[in-house]
Amino acid sequence: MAELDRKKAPKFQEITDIGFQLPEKKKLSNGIPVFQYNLGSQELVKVEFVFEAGTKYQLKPLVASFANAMLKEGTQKKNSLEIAHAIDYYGAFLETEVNSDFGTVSLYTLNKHLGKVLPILKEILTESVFPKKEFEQKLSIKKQKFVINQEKVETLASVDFSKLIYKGTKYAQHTELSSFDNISVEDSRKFYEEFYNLNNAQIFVAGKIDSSFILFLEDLFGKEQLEKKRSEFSIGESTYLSSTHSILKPDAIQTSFRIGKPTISLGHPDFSKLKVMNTIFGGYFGSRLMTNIREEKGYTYGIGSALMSKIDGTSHIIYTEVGKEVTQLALNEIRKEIHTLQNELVSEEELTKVKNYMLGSLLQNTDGAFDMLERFKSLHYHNLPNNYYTQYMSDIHATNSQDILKLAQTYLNELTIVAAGSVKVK
Amino acid sequence: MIEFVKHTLKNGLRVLIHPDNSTPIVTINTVFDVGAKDEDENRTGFAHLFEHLMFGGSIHIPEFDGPLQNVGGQNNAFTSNDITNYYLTLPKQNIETGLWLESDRMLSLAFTTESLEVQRSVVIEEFKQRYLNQPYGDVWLLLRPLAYSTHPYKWATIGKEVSHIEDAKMEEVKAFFYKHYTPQNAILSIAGDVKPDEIIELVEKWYGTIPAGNKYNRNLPKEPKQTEARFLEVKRNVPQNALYKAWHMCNRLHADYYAFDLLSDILSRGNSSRLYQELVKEKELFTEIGAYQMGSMENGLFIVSGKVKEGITMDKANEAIEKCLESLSHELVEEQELTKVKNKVESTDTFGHINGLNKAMRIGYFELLGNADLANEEMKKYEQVSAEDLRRITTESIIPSNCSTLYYLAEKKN
Repeated sequence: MAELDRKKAPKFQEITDIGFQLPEKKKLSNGIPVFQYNLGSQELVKVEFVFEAGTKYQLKPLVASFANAMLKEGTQKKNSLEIAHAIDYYGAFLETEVNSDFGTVSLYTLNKHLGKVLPILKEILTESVFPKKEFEQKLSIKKQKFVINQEKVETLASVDFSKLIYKGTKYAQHTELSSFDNISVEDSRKFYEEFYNLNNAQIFVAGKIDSSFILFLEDLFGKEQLEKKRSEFSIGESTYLSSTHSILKPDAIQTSFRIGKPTISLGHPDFSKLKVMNTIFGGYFGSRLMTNIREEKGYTYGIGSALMSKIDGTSHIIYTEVGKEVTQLALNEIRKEIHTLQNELVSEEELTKVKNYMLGSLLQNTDGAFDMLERFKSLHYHNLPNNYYTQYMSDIHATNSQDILKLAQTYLNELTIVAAGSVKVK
Repeated sequence: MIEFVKHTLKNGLRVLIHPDNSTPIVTINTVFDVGAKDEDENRTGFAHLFEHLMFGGSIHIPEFDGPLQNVGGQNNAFTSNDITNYYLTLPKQNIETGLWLESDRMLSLAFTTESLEVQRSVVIEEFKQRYLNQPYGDVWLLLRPLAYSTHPYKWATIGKEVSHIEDAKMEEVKAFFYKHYTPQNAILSIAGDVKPDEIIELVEKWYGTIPAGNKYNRNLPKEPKQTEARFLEVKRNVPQNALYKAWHMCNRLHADYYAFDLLSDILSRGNSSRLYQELVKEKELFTEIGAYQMGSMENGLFIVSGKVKEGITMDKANEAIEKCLESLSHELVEEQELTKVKNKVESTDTFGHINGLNKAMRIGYFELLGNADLANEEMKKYEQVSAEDLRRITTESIIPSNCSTLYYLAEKKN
């Protein structure tokens, strides 16, 4: 046998294909859309109701998150303990979540218990009563958590960053301590009635299901009369202007940075290529920012950059926490990396590595029903074509070093800098 | 059920292969039988610092991450008090690249001064970010030495203090590697759409020539039985008082492990759990509360911790926890409540079988504990736990003389 050459990398194959599939699309007889993936070998299922009920629709802070959180706190038939017990007893998980665009309610269960727990999901969506006592309790608990989070430099920096980036739009809303005194159970109940309406819902399903599943959904949800209650919505006009902010927290031993700007959205023709540029810059472990600022300088435990896509706006953001002594040095290095990307062509070797990494990530992120469901939701809500991921792959392949240079010049300027810590930055 | 094939190389490396044709991704998981418990008391944080160094280039390959990213792979690692675990996931057609990279760093690291210096500062920043610059971040640095007087579980994985990491020397780093990072101290587990025969051939090719090294025989100091209640009070710049309680419990292989785990579920899993219902919802003494066991391989800790509501004294909060636990030593848990927590374990286990990485890690971990088959026998052991077992362990172990209590107080600001 020939001596093993350990210096030489084994042969590898490029990723040319991902296994992404579209879900089966159905409609309940009252019009509620259902998207389902029947995949996997385990006897389990996830059923997710997505409502356009994110924080951007609320008229004051906390309302949307309380409308969402209160769903588990009492219905006409069950109090909060009975709801919890009914779900816990069957080993199921009922998760409620809210972000700036959506409010979601997800049920994870073994198939054998689906018949017992899905009706509870229906009950909380259609018969919630928002008991005052439960609301007051939740409010005081959330307030305590809020106060604790205000002690973290990363919270201070990211809240301020959002305010500046989304200035003028509904995304700029933020919670303050006084917000907790200005919200009532009625506010959140009204929001629930308007936004957690089945007319405003879409259903996403992943797991091992059979043909009886859709009949069960139809039986529970398809017969409800739907009425439109939601008012018109507009995100508002951005009045973004770049600026530099230092938030002082005298005892902090690290400084948290959030740096970035509003940028193009998912449907824009440059977006996939911008993603390649971002990956080179700060989007993976081998990125420029990570290599320089963590792996060469040791200023931080982690640094990265990302494109954060919301439905009505995307932001480009660099994030890190660095030692307070090296705050200014770290910022200088971030600026230097931007400058390099704007002025020097990326090598073919680095570009190829990043492309392969991105294709590998896409393959990893479309692995199985749960992952595919997430990718599909992104397509669906951003109104992207069904062949989006095929297009995305060919856009990645087509990106060249000139593109990267131009994109860096076009999209990495007029950045807003927020630093929270014990020192000021210039 | 995780089906697997086992193969042992001549140098002692154990290989477990779980074929799963539902995914285009393969996982290569390597667990080394070394954790923070194997450290010298004056050089704590070493196992974790070492985990960082494992990415700083190996004997024949200057960089670990680049070649992996180049074939569409990703990787990470973690260190605990018991183990150090490295994993990578990549497209199945490129599995050999993963084996090439992993086997070279098992053979030997490059040991460059540069890598040591940089990872030293990265780990110090990690220490600050996660333990010092976070509200309540230093809890484990306080609670571990309170609960353990002798056993090396008394220090946290990150280390006792920053200076131990600052002082680490290259010769110590090398000695640590040759002592612990040998094929006989490692288990390789692979999950994905693979043929076991082909994998065994590839593993023999890349790992077969790595020297077996010396067997490390662990001989850790034993923790003496705790005989009286321990107490510590600290003041910190945090907004809210917190309470932590830790009781000694059995090891991972003991039959009572499953009873302790279910006990923690009875107390705090889900909103219908006892501590949440009694102390958060009914009595409104805490704003959050949790119970869990640490999952340690050797005799571990059973923890209850919570954030105390403003205006409630610490003693009152503490008594309420004790009372809630004491009731479990008098009255048997009802069958329905026991079924509830067992159902939750069953569904968590089933959901855990979706993910290849999860499965590879699980069989590797149990092989390290003694036998990979245990990974598939756990559900049965949970099912066997009776209400009487829960009452018995509570009576025996969840008692004041076996408990360490930490009052973590908010400093009043002027």
